[in-house]
Parts: sequence; C-alpha cells; structure tokens
Amino acid sequence: MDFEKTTEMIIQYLDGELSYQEEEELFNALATNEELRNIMREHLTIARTIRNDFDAYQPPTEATLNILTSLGISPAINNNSQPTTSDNSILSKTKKFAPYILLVLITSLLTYFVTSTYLKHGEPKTEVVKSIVQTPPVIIATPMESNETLTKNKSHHSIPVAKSEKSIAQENSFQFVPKNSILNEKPIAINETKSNQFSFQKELYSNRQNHQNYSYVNRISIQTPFVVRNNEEPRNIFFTIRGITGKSFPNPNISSSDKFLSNASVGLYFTQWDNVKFGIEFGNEVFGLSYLNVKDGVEFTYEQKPSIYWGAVAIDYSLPAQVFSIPGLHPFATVLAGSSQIGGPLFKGIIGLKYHPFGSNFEMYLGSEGSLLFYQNQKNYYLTRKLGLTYGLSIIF
Amino acid sequence: MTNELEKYSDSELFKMLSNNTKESENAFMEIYRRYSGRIYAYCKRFLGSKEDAMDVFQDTFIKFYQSSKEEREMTNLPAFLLRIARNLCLNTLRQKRQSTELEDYMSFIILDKEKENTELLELIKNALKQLPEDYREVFVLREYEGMSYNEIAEHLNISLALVKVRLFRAKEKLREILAPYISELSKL
Repeated sequence: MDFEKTTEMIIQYLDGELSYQEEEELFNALATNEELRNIMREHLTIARTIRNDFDAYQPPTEATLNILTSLGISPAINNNSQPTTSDNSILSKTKKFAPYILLVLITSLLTYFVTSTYLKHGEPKTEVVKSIVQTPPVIIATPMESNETLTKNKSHHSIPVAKSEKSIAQENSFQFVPKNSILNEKPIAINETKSNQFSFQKELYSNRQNHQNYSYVNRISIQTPFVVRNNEEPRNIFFTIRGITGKSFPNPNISSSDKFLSNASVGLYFTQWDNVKFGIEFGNEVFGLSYLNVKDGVEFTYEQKPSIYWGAVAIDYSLPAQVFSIPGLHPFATVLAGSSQIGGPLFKGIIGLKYHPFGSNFEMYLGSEGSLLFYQNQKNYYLTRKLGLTYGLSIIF
Repeated sequence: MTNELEKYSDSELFKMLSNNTKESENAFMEIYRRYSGRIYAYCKRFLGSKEDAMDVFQDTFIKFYQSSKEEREMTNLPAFLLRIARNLCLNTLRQKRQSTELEDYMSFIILDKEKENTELLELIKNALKQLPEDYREVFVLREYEGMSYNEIAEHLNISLALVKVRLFRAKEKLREILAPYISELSKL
C-alpha cells in the first residue's frame, strides 16, 4: 500500500472518518510497519495535547465585559430569570420577592418567640432565665472574713447578707434576712436594677441554733455581662442604616453592577438588655464570585461581581459603661446570620465603636466588617470572603 | 445558580433576542455562555495572536447581537457565529499578513531556544502559526470546533476531497515540526 495513502488513513481514522473496510486495511498495514505505528503515535500525542488546550476556550473577562458594555447589557445579568410574557406583572414581582418576605416573617416570628418566652423583661420568671442570671462568667472576689461582732448581737432568726460592693462603706453594711431562706446553702442573688453586680452569701454554720459558732462567711461577688431591665423601662427600638465598603476574595477584575443604594443595609433592632440588642437587617452588596461550570466535558471558570440582596438576623453587644469609660463611646460587636439572593447562607461579623451623644436619640458607628458568602453551582459549594469597613447611623425610638 | 434558559434551543433563544430588553439580554447571555468558548478558540488558534483574537471575538458577538434584530430563521446558530468570526478573521489576516509572518517566525526562533522548558502544547500553538491559513483553518475547525469533514466542507464551501487534502497536509506538517519534541518527550 502507498505510504502516503496509509498516513492519510491514519489521520482519517483518528478523526473517525474511515469506513469499516478502510479500517481493516489500515490495521493490516500498521501490523507490519513500525514507521507507520510511530506516525500514528505522534498524531495521537498531538491530538491528545490539543484536547487539553483549555486556555483556548476561555475568553478573557475583559473581552466579555467589552462585549456586554458595547451592547448595553449589565455584566451581572441574572440568567436565572425565566422568560415570561410580561416581567412587570404584579404576580411576577410578588413571586420574585416572596422568599425575602417569607424570610422577614420567619425571622421576626422567631425573634419574637425567643425574646417573649425566654428573655422577658424585669424579674426573670422561668428557671431558664434564672440559670442564665445566676451563672455569670466572671468572679471578681474571693472569700473574706465576716464581721463577727455584727452577727453576735443580732437575732437568732436572721443572719447577715452582704449587699453590693460599690464602696468600702457599702461593703460593711448588711441587711438582715430570715435565716430559713438561706439555710439551703445555695447562693442567693439579689437583683439590683440598673446594676450588673450581684452579691452572694454562702454560710457555713456548725450549729443551726447558735450563730456564734460559725467560722466565716464565704462571700463571692459576681459580675454579669448583661443588665436586666425592669418592667417600667421602655424597650428601645433602633432603626439603623449603614454603608458597607470592602474587598471581596475572590475579587474579579471586572466592574461591578452597582445598583442604586447598593453596598448599604437597613435594620431594625430592639434592646433586650441594656447592652444587648436583637434585630433584623436587609442589605444589598457587591460580592465577587468565581465558580466552575462544566459544559460538554470542558471546565470553565465564571467570574461575576453582582450586587446581591441579603437578609439576616442579628445580635449586637456593646461593652457597658462600667467596662469602657470614655463618655459616649461604646465598643460593640455584631453577629449576623442569614441568606442571600443567590441561595446560600451568609454570615457577618462586625466590631467597632459607637458614639452616642448624651441625651440624643441617635448614635453613629464605625467598624470593620467581615463577611462569608456561600453559594452553589452544579452541586459544588463556593465561598466568597469579604473584608471592609462599615459606617452608619441609628435612630432610637 | 441553575440556569433556566439551558433547556431552550438555539433557535428559541435567537427568537428571544428580538423581544423585550431583559429577555433578549438573558437570551444573549445564554448563547454567549454556550458558544463563546468555541468561537474564542477558533479566533485564537486561527489568528494565532491573543490580541487579534480578542478583537475579532468581541466584534463577532457584537455583530451577532446587532444582526439578531433582523428577521431571519436560525437553523444553525454556531455555524452562523462561526461564519461571522471567520469573515472577521480573514479581514484581520488580510490586514496583518506581512507583519504577522515576521512576528511568528521570530517567536518560533525564541521558542526554539527555550524548547527544553516549553511544553508540547506551546509548541503546537506555535507550530500552528507556521501553517498556511487554509490549512490552519481546516485544522482548527476539526480539532477545536470538532466539526466533521462534511461540516467543514459545508462551512467553507469547498469539496470534501479538498478538506481531506488540507487536513492531511496540515497534520502532517505539524507532526513533522513536532516529531523531534514528541520523541524527546516520550523518552522522559
């Protein structure tokens, strides 16, 4: 067989263009000719290598952006939208916003349920709340000697209970309470409104009938991070609006699809304790997205920088004035957990400083914010991190 | 992030291009998602220059979007896109013929000096630039676009026999250029 003809057949065979008879002819030739087999190997190597030329199939992001800009198309256009006869109908709009409305309702109901059931104002009524109040994390004093002379002269039916220790004078003042109420050897909490300190007395008596035999009074002062508000205090509501600026990781080198009022959020908080607020927030923010898409066995990387809507529940804690004493300034930390428009969970953490001018009904704040945005494509999860600043204003009602 | 438009055929998407703005934009994005890779690969490997490929690639899709507003029945959308890309590629090659030949020769010389560190794929890309346009185009349509011989003949409006001849010569030329490297690589 002609050598050139067989070489041509090798190429056509690799391209799947040979008939059955021609294939047989070729295999016979290959079986007897080493050089032809080498030629086939070389063509195979070239063909295989070209199939790995993925780079050729990836248009640069810049080119994509140029095309879209030239045609007046938003780069972050939402491909998910189904073509409809009319995108402006009330039904389609309701459908679009239904998940967010549902999210608001659920989070509101949950927040109301949690706070009204377990975190009621004033004197805690349920055992759960008592355990929170009575198991504070910071112990700031150790046992001290009791004043023996005081107890010696008092009635056998009452024993001294130390009150709060704001000063030395106060430390030495005692209140007499019926002995039976504390003989169970459990610490007794005295709830003092507008104070975050409780005093406990644990007494060790050798003889219940004779108070003179006691050896010492073990006195422990415990500081709680929370202040329980009483029934008379109004529940403050905070309407907040804040701007968010930061850098996404990944951060595709394409311009973002900023919308009006993007990179901002609004929220509604209410005070549960003096230093703790619960609330909900909704925002619109630019995130850089980068994900893989497999099409016809070829893997493509897609990059986007869309403006994404999100909603989250939040808890906010400010350091009390007793801990941080610059007037009007309060360090704070906020944690948010929610979901985004693209269907994945979103978490945020903020730390910063709040400024609340004395007697005013607003406060301003500045802080650093970190975000974690999860999203899914073709059953793979991706994560975008974002780090930046946040600044805003709260109006207190 | 599921794409609802994935289930629509090319001709349905093409029809949507003439509808209201939002819908046509979505349809365009889906078409772009489907074929941008293939068109870019064609431009890049046919022209052999990333910059030229980018220009032609952009013009192809802009031209396509503009022409989609005209009334027409779309039977083969990728072929239509390729036709636009091909015309633009040929225009570019015509304009740049003299200068590219020199640049390609120089780039191959430089590459030759660094062959020990160059992977086979880079060698193929550069070898591809040494092929005559006619051969290169047939090769790219076959290897990068996955077209059959008949489809290539139809697309280029040439005979099947001519496709076979051009492909054979293109591949053989490539093999001859790359044979020493393949032989060396197989020893590693």
